[in-house]
Amino acid sequence: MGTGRKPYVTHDIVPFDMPAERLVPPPHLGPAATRIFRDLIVRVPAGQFKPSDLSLVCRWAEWTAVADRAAAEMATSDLVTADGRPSPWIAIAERASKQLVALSLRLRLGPQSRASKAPKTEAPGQQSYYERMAAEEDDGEAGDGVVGDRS
Amino acid sequence: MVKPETELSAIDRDALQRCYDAVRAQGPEQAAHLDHIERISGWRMAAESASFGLQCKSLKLRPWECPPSCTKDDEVDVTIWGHKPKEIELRRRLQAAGLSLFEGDPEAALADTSAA
Repeated sequence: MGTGRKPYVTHDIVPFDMPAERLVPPPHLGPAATRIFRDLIVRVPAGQFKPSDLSLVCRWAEWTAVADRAAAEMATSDLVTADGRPSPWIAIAERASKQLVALSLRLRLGPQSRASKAPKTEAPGQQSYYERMAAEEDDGEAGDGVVGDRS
Repeated sequence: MVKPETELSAIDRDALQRCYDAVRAQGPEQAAHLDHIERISGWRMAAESASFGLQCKSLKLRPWECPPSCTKDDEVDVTIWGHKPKEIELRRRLQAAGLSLFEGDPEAALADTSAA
């Protein structure tokens, strides 16, 4: 161990020859959710999720699996049951979609989360008193103690 | 070097007092800040701090530009803060108009003088 002064800044870097750490699906996830989990993890930047985000990512994967299943059921069966009521898969798909929308914001997924904030309208640059003095000199105006418009 | 408080002229003291009062009136945080300076360094420093802040704001100064309250003499040197030509020019205008270098809004004070 070195005896010198400890650095003020500790750099968190990934060694050149080591793979970047990414979240690993926990064993309790079902096969469909595990596939969705891995698919998501490899498609986002390595640093997007931290280990503390694991449960949220798991919920994302589970609800995505539910939504996929509901979509498949709705595509292959009638949307109205034999007794004239809406298919229960509609409610399931709706609920899964709501959960996914909420989770996508938390996990910064989707175009809205990726987009940079809308640029604000910037006020025109204000000149300082000295800059206005210089500008007026350039314009050939005589200085009388009052420099330009104070607006 | 900061001159002793006793060496302040009447117009300087008046301008500093107005700056001090104006900043205190801006709100409790500003008043507490002035109280803190005054407790440690005295009224003169608190009032100069108020003047400095007001001048920077009213003249819309850049961080590298010096308000007239900090120009200590008439020596022009483009490499030294507080001695740039425009900074000295404003200092001279204020002095020629009989105004204090501590005026919170030097531009308005000059305009009032020229209008009178």
